[in-house]
Amino acid sequence: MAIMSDSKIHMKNMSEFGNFQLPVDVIIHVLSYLSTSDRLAAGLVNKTWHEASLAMKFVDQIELILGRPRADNLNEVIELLQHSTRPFYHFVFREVELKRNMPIWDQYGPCMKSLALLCCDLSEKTLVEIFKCCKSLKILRVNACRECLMSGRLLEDQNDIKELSETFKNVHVLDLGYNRFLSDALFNRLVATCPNLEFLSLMGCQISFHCGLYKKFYPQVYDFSDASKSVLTFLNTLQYLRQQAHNLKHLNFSYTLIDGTALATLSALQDLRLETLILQGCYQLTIEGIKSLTEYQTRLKVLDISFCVRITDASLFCICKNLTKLEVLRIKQCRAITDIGIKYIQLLKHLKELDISKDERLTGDSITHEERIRKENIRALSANALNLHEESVECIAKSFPNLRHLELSYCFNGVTDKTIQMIFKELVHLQILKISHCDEVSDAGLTGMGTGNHEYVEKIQVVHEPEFTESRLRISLRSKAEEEIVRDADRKREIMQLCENVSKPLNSFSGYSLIRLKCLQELDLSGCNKITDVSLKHAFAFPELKILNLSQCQQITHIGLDYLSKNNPAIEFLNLNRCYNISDIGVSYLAQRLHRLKQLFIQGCSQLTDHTLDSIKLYCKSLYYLDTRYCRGMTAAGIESLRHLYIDWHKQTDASAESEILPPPAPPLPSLPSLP
Amino acid sequence: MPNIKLQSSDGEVFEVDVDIAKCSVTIKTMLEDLGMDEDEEEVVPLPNVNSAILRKVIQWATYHKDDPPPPEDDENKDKRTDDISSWDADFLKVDQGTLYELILAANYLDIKGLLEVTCKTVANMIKGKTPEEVRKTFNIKNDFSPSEEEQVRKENEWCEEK
Repeated sequence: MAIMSDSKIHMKNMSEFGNFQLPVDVIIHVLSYLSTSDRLAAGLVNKTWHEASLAMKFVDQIELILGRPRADNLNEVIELLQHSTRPFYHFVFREVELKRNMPIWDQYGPCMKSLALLCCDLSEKTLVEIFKCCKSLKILRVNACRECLMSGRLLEDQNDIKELSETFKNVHVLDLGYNRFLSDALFNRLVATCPNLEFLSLMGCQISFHCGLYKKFYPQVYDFSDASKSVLTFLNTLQYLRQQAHNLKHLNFSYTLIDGTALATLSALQDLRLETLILQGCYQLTIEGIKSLTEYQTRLKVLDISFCVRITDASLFCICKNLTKLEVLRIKQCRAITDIGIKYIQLLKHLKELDISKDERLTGDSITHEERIRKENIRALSANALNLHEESVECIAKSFPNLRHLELSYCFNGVTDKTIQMIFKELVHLQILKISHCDEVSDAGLTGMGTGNHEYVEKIQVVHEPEFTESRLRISLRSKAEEEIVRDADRKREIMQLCENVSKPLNSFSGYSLIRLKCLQELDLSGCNKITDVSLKHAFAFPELKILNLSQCQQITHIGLDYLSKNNPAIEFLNLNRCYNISDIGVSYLAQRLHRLKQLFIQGCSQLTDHTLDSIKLYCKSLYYLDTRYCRGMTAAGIESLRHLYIDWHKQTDASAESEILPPPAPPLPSLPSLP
Repeated sequence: MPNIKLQSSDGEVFEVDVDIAKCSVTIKTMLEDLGMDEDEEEVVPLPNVNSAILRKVIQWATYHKDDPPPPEDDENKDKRTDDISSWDADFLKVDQGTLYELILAANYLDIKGLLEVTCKTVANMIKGKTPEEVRKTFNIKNDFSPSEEEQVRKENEWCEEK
């Protein structure tokens, strides 16, 4: 009986407060099913939820990106962090000036797990002092930092190196990419501070691989302790790799002049058992190096030789035959590779990720004929800009059941309404889908309406063609462009009718809508010019969609944006460049409803005026980047009113500039500084 | 099949197949610790679960009795929430209070499968929502002061997924 009354009190409490107050560990469990953005929002619900959102495993997935493109200086955020009690482990500083007296180092240094300095201005003395604060560091990246390396005096004091080698005993990743002023001497001092390295990156550093040059700087015998202060040589790097061979597991020599001989020497180092090797854009790389690599480094799991133009089918054969443990293979834009070479990929039984984009000699057969490849393991496939036919895209849809990430941009012959239907039918777990510039794809393909019977769609076009020339448009120029416009309008009307009358019995079988891909996080439909508001209304509702690119989808108007903003609340990065038909009201829907919007690209949207800027100012609380280049309708005063944002904007002075080709949009926060 | 008796907080007794009851790790350990013999007419008291919820839990456990044991937690595995079976989805078409009680019961009774599916359901209700919408959905009171809330909100703005 006592139990019963307890329960009654409990029930009464429940109804009184009506509180959905779960224990913290249960909330943590709930949060573990959410994306970082959803988790951050949930952490604002109340104090208990906030506490749950600060569980170590969640904080470990968050990084703070301080500097550009968000702000040119750190005053504001440092002030904010001084009042903060929550932990942060991962810090990225981009294009900012750093000082030792910033309170951030003493506050967060002791528990900082990763530190990335990208294109930062700081003196060598400051760098060493900052390093000394970071006592739990595991990952260190110093990329394209000129000032602290230019003088060559960094870590001149042996005592600093000694102290740091203790402080940095847990550092296992060191990335020194894109440092122009890195010399042998500086390299030796920096690696001496990190005695337990497993991952070393010298991406984009100017390493000399030529023996003639060694002789110039090391005229006598090479001496490790008397390394050159003016050049970075492979001779010296190799010496370090030899010493650390038993520890090092991952190397990145992308965008260096590493050649076949150098890779062969490296691969044959005693005790070296690499798991990852990244060699993007190594134009000098030849089969000699690959042969040696595949002979000695059979434990490799990740190999990236994208943009290595000299790689041939024979090299690919060696790779697939010997590196049987490979899980990730990226051979993007290895132009010499043909269908014959691609066949060997079936030998890789553990492959999870494959990138064969822009291998321009490949044909659709390379995919359809890969019967024996173990496709159920593959999670990510990039096959952009290949001359695929419809059968190959169908084959992809049918035979890679566990794909999470699929890129088929610029495969305009293969990705059509018919084949996109197969993708929506089979690959419902996709998280990333990119079909940029596949301009055969229309509303019919995205909504699945009328595509069950493919000829039906064709028929619509045929039926309507004579109609518009005779009756609907009495004054017709009979130009091709005009026909195209009218056909677009007809197609839109037909699909719209089909979509809106789903309750009525349809004479055509309705197919599969994009909406089936419930887990979609990133979608790129840029340049898919046949897509209209109909698709946005009927095929777009994704609870987790974060990145959406609809640039050059010129038929989109405010009506489509109305539905888009209602049904896709998680969008953070939205590209609407050159969507000429969107208006101020359309942007105001986005501003009011997309609470998480961080970056918005509306380049060249000439109908937009200062009203757009007003609604952004009023509602977009999370926005930090706005691209309004070539928006002729906006005024300088309007732009000025958004001082808190980082805005790309050019005042359009003369009309002739309109025809000039627009530069590609800035990539959303690349993880590395772009190539020189 | 031997049965055992489970008594809810409001005194109702349910007779359940032992194997079904044992999908609750709590009951399983209780039986083992107490050395309860399966023939004995002993009643297991569950003071934290009322009869309405216990009935639902038993219904769920009975339907899922032949399920394979759930896989061990793997942090690297992608956490899907779209894999709720249609039976579970129908089963969880309940009001907020019941869902809440079911989660607490699953947590207390340590029934991993039920806890997972109920938490996924809650997670699905949170996706894409603003904090205010989440509060409204679950009727949660905001106990932040305006300045505390503003501080957390501003901190969030600088956070990116790693």
